[in-house]
Amino acid sequence: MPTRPATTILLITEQEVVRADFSGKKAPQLIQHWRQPRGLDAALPTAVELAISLGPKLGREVLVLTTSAWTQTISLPAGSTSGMDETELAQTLRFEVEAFSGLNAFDSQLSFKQVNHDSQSPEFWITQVEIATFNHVEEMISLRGGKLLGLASPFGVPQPLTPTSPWQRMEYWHDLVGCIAVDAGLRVFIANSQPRSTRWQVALENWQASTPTSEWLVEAGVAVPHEYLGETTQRLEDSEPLEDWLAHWAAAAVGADYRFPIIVPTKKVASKEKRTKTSLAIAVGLLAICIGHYFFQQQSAGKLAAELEPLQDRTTQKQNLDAELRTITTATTALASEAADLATEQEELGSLTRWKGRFSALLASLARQRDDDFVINKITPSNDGLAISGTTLEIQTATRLAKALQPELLTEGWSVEAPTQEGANTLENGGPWKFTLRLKDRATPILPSP
Amino acid sequence: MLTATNKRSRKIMNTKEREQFLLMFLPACLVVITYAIFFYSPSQKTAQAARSQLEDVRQKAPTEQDLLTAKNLLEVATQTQATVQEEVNRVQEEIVQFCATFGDESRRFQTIQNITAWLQDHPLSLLAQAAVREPTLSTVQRAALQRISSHLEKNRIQYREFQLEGTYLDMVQFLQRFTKSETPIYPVSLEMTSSANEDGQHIWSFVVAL
Repeated sequence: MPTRPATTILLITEQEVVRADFSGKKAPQLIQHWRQPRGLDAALPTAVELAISLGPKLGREVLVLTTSAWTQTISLPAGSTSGMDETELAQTLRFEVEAFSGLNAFDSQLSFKQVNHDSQSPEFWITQVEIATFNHVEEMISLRGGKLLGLASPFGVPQPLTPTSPWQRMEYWHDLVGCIAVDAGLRVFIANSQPRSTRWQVALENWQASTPTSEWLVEAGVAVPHEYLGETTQRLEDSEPLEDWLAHWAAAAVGADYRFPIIVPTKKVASKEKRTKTSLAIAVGLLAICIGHYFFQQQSAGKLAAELEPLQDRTTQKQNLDAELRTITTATTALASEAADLATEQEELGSLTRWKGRFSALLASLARQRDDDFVINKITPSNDGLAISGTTLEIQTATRLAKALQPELLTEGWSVEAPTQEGANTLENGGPWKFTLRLKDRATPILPSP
Repeated sequence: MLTATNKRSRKIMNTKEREQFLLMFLPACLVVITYAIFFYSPSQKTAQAARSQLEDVRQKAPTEQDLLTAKNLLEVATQTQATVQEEVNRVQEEIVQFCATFGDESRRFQTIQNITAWLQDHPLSLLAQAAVREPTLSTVQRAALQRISSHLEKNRIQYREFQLEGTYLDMVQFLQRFTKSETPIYPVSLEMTSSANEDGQHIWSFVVAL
């Protein structure tokens, strides 16, 4: 699929229409050109349409060069333009050239460049065209998908066709003879006269050229006397010079600071209805953007919520686990406490079992300590154990008995207290002695070492 | 003159054009302002709050590893609880079984019969046999017996006193027989009074819990 050209130049002369497509916006390169006779009665818009139809899709930007545009230089009295801005100057010039161009100041559009700076009064190179024609051309191009870069006269591409400096070029067009030179500044001479006429020669003689003519350009189909041409004459009827010349125009049209008068489309003042529609369209567009943005935000919020949900779930799950763990730990602690209580209880109850043989053990233990020195008279239960009462001849016997019983009875859950004794003072040693041994119940017995 | 008029009219034109141009954007501005005030701003606040919450939750939220650890801890705690519960149940069951040996009328009768039978094997004279309401018990014994009572639903613990007469040695042998028997008999009190005749015979008072 061929690329759309960046720029298209449409050359509309009296004789023919030419279309040239260029690629590259900043450094235009010629792709192809087409040419065809204009037709006798083809108006400028029709000719433009014809030129457009010569090739495929139109370039994005279109420069129209046409001899139908009136171009001329005009000088104003010195000081008359001082203080004027561009618009005011254009307005003034429109009135000034009305008599020369024949175009009504109010119905035409004009572009100008100040030239010939060395003259005493300001001089302007003007190109003018009817507004209706210009609008028609613009509409035509717009309908074909292009944007009108501007409309200019084909005269005066402000570049040398062959690289020389300084340079001056004579151009012969169907009803225009002009000379353009660039030395210290832009110098332009234009005579609205056919090349065959001699009137332009007189006028040209009065125009002070600073440099000799270095190149000549002749429009296709225009006859120019041989003596007015030079060795470097380029005729636009030949393809090669035409392409070269068009390439120079394409290069000159790059950027916004043109060195030649070019009529550019004015900004259209929109009608109230159009303004309303535009206004509504902008509002609706913005509303759509706002709605889109709102939904985008909602979607983002949804994503945040979706991201939040598993985290919250995990947090809740952890909290539940912790709560369950706390509950179980508390319950386990209570159970452990209950188990401890039960163990104590079981231990206490177990004492009954353990103590099943304690009385047998007590009597056996007392029997083992049998001695002629003491007699057991009584064994009495008490609130804290047992009391063993007896009689001894020696005061130390009871203590000895207590000491002997102590280790044996500890395993049966008794602790033996020191005996209480009372002497009868019948014997010399104060005896016989009545003693009482108290065996106190212990909660847990002390088991013998293995 | 013409220039001045043009200049003025152009200025007016420019001002009007500017106004018209700006007016074209008025509905759009209203849309934007309405959206900004009633939709964007609240939505932005909500989004900001949600972002803060997310950041907060993200910082505080437990990791999968934390969850796994918590689950493991819970599992261990549950197992521990089950183990402790089993232990509690076991001890409770043992206590209940132990306590159930008391308060059983048939067992009481059997025990008394056993004791009476054993007495016949030993030269001990049974002077009297009777139920006693409040035997003299040590504090430790009383506490243990009260615990048993608390586990008994109907029958209370009964104490039975056997008054015997016999020698010290006979009594020792009788008690040893008593100890060696498998019968769950729990002696709680023993009293001895020597005979005034000093013939080696003693009066024994022997209390068992039934």
